[in-house]
Amino acid sequence: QKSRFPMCTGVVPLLLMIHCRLVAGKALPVNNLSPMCENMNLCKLNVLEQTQKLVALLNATAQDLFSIYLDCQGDAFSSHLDELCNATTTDFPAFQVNRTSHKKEIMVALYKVFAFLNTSLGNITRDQEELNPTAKELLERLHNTTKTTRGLISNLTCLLCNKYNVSQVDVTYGKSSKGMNVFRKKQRGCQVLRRYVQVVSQAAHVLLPHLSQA
Amino acid sequence: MDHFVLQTILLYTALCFSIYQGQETQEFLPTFLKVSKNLTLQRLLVEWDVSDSAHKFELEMVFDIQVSRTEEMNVVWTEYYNTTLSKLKKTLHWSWDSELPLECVSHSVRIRSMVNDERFSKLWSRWSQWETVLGLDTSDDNTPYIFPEDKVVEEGSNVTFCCIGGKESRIEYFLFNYTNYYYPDSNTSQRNMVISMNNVLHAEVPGILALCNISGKGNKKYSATLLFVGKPPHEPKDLSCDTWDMKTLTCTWNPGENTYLYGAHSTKYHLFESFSQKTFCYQETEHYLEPIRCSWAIDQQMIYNLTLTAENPLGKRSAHFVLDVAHRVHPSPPFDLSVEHMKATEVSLYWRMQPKYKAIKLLCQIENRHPSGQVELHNSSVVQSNSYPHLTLGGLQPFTNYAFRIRCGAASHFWKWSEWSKTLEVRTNEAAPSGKLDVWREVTPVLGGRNVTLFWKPLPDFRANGGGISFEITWEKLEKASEPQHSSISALQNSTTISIDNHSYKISLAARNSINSSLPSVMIISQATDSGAEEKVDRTDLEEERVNGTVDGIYISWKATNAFDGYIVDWCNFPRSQHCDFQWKRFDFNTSSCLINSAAFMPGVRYSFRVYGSLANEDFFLGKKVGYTKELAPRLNPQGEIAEMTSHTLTVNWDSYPINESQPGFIRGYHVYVKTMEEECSLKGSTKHALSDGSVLCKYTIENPEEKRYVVKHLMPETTYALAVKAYTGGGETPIDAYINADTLHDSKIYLPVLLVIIPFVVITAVCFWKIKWVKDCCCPDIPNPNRSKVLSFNGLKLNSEAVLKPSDCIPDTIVLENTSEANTLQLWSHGSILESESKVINPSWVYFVQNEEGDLMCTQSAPEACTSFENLAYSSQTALGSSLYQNLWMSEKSEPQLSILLYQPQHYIEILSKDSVTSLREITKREGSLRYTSQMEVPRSDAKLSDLPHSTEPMEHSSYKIQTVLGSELVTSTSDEDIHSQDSSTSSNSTVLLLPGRH
Repeated sequence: QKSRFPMCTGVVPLLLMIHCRLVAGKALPVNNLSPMCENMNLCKLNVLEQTQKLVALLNATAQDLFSIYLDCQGDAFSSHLDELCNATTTDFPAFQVNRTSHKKEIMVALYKVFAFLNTSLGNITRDQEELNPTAKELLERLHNTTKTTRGLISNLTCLLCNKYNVSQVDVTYGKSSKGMNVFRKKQRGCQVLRRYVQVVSQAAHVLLPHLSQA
Repeated sequence: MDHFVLQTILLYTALCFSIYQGQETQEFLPTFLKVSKNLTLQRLLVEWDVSDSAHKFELEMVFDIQVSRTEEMNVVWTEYYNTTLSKLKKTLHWSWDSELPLECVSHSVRIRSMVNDERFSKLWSRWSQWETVLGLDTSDDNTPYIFPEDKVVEEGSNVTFCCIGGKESRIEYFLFNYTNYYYPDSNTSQRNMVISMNNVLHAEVPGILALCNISGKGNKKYSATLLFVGKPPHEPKDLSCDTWDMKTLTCTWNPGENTYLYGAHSTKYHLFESFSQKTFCYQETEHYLEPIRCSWAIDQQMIYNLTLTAENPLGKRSAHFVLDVAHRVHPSPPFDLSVEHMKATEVSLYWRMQPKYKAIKLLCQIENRHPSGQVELHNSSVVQSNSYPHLTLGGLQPFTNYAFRIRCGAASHFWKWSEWSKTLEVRTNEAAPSGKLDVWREVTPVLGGRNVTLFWKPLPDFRANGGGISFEITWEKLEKASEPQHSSISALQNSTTISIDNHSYKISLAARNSINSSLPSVMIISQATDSGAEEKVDRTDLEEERVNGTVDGIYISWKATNAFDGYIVDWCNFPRSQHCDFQWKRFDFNTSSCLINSAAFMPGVRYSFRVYGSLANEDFFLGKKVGYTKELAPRLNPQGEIAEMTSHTLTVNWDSYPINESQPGFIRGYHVYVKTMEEECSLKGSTKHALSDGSVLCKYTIENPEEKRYVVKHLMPETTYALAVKAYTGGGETPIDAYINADTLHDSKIYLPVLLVIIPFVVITAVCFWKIKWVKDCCCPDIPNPNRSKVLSFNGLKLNSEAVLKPSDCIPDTIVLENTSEANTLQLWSHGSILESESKVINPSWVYFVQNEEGDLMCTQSAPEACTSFENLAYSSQTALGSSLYQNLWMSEKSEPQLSILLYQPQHYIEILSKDSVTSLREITKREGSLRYTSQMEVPRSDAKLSDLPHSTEPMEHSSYKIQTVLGSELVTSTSDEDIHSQDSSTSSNSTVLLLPGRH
């Protein structure tokens, strides 16, 4: 009997494996040839403070974003939240640093998280623009969160490149939602955002003591 | 050739023979049966074939096709498929659309055939073998599934879902649109669940969740999908195509109603042109309320046959139309609208248009908006779009703001006006003021002349036509030539005051701006007579005429005559204010009435109107009218005071109450309300007035507003009454809020008859008791003892024989006082020493009264004769003696009190009663001073002689009876003996003491 998804037995798993191998890895020391640190000027004096404020801002708005997202997917998602929206099933990067962690490790962990989030937000925004074009508030919040995330990544990049001499960070971007059925698109968005609420809260918590020391 | 014919005949014969041989046994069994499925269309595709011989003969055949589901081969569909076989196409095809997703269960198909030809027996062939496409419920996969996935259905349709659990899994429940559907217990296999949802409706959130909850092996415990419920597209509305430059054609349309499908499922539009076979646009609906626009280059094609198609997963709609581009020119709005050659009444407008590179003949329309909001439209001639046209507009008002804007449309085959250009606001140049001012005046006499206050306002045809306006006033004497005087007033003012003497004056008023002056308005102030008496008449001398007012205004009328060429009515909008807001209104010569109204008019305010006749710029006062738009009840109540009270009357007055223009209505009169202790009003002359609380008052109406005093009569003595005075106007009166309480006095008249009887009786009794011996001797003499009688001794007789007492000389009813010193002591003790000393001067005259048969009193007179009077003590307190003369009173006691009603003076009795009933007459005399009391009869003047009095015994009029009347001091009255004697018979019956001079 043939497989229902014949491509899964062909070259696609090999390509995916190669892709995952490429995007998953460790942070490398600064290398002048690193594209991450290209065109990176000196950081502003208050970059740490700005980073802390941006994380705090994202933390303050994350729960509302998730709530509005749920509202726009229908009540069934809210009523079966744990069943349909289990955050542990996503490939959201682990955030395994704490207050005692080295600053550099924290910054690298933050970079991984928000790089993943930035990509996922792009997918979620695109999917919701198609599925819920009339949900203006949700789309606006998704856009705003994406912009803030990009600003945060810029600050983190600057810190990593200039202060912590990290020129490359291996990040994962998660699966693209293209080709998924509509339910899976909604579900993935829900899972990512739910996990995002948890992680950004941890990040804000961990980041505060270090910022105050800086 | 013959050989070929022979061969053909043999072959046909063999075929016919073979057909004949197989008529009962020949069957064309379907072969090569293949079944596949198109999951997108949820369609089962069936292919089969029959033997070549059947195709060779192109037989008409019937195929019986059965479709079964599940391994149990439950037949769910049977269909007869008729076809005529062809020599070219050997493979036969048939398809079947499944309501149940084909993934859900296995589907099997079998076929049998029958030749529908008379040459063959109509018998079904044997069934082919079942050909099956497996469902996912047969796989060993542990992944759960739900079908259909992301299906789009039309609202109101039925949808069948199936849930497929993994191997050795169970379907627990199916969730759709917030409702759980549990697996029926009767079903033995719980790996597969099929359920239909009927009449599905669209949801607010796009995509209705359908979820299967699964238990058993496998990590995934559920499978879910979304169902999109919507509507097929609606026909596009308001489709319109036009070009603004003959270069690009733009079509717009509205999507119509909401389809509730978004994103990939939203409605897509494409515009197809059949002549060029091009699709110009492919648009999506972003929002069903927003119009969709599609543009493309025209090139050389002028005629278009367009088909607009709207399509979504639920269907498509199309609209067709043909257009000629030349008939669809919608120019772009003109621009650079400007003004050149500005004048006071004329302006030239210039503008530019598009396209510039290609000349289009346009017709333009200019809108001219006046400051008042009035709009005028002016059409230009046909202009080329690449020219710089202009239009001159005349008939404008000088120094006026105008707003111009312009739009254009195709001159030939007009389609639509362009949008308006930007608005150009301009102000025309200045010109001299036009029209006249309406001027009126108020003349106030002053010492040596008059002050004339001029008021003016623009007439409807007046226009300032410029800024910096001022008013120029010129006045000059009419009678003799004099130098005119001038005054210039700023534009902010609309009145001024000039002083003139008592001559006639001509006053001119004109408006001036920086260009020139307007035509002057002229008025003539007549010569004043007697220091401005003419103007005084204006204000006060003529009687005010009351006029009626309504909420619509106050109606003023006058007698129109041919003597005037117009009339003027002036008034103040705020007559109670220092700035009274002077107003006037002009009327033509045949108007005799008007309704004056003003937003400033208030109810309860008296407005005064003066009416003038106008003749050749000279004005003549005709009358003054006053009125209210609505009269209100007086705000202030009359302050009533009790001015006088008696035992039966209360007099109330309210002198200070104003009835002038301060009142909110014309005071029509007053109401006096009296509240008695009784529940009902029983006062004579009053009407009942019931209050809201149920109590009843007595109401008296005074209809003269000038009368501010009222006597409430017929009251009970010693009773408390509450009075209230209310003024009333045409607006009524205010409710009673306060009363004046007053008590009527004690009625002392009830004691008069008692006093008249008791006091004389007591006095007489006292006197009698005091002189009891004398009385006894007189009236009841002791029976003389002849032995001791001096009479019998004849001693006295010896001395004077005439002194012998003769029984005939006795007057038993008369007390006779001898003229002795002892008698003098009988003078009234109340007269004191003066009386005692003067009692020796005996030359009295007296009047005494007798009572006739009817009881009336009659006056008689006696001749003066020396006498000693004995005053009736019952009236002694009322008596005062003259300084030089005696008056002897004979009082006839009357029992009827009505005799003294009219001229009765009660205060003396009050005093008597208040002083323990017996006040010393001496004291009273002193207190009364010069008071003298007349008798009860009418008394002649002091200089009248007694002889002048009528000696009549006729009864006098009751009204002239004065029992307490002051007597003139000079009066001397007397009576003759005859008169006295003539009265004896009548007086003897009364309790009367008559004093006669010594006759004994």
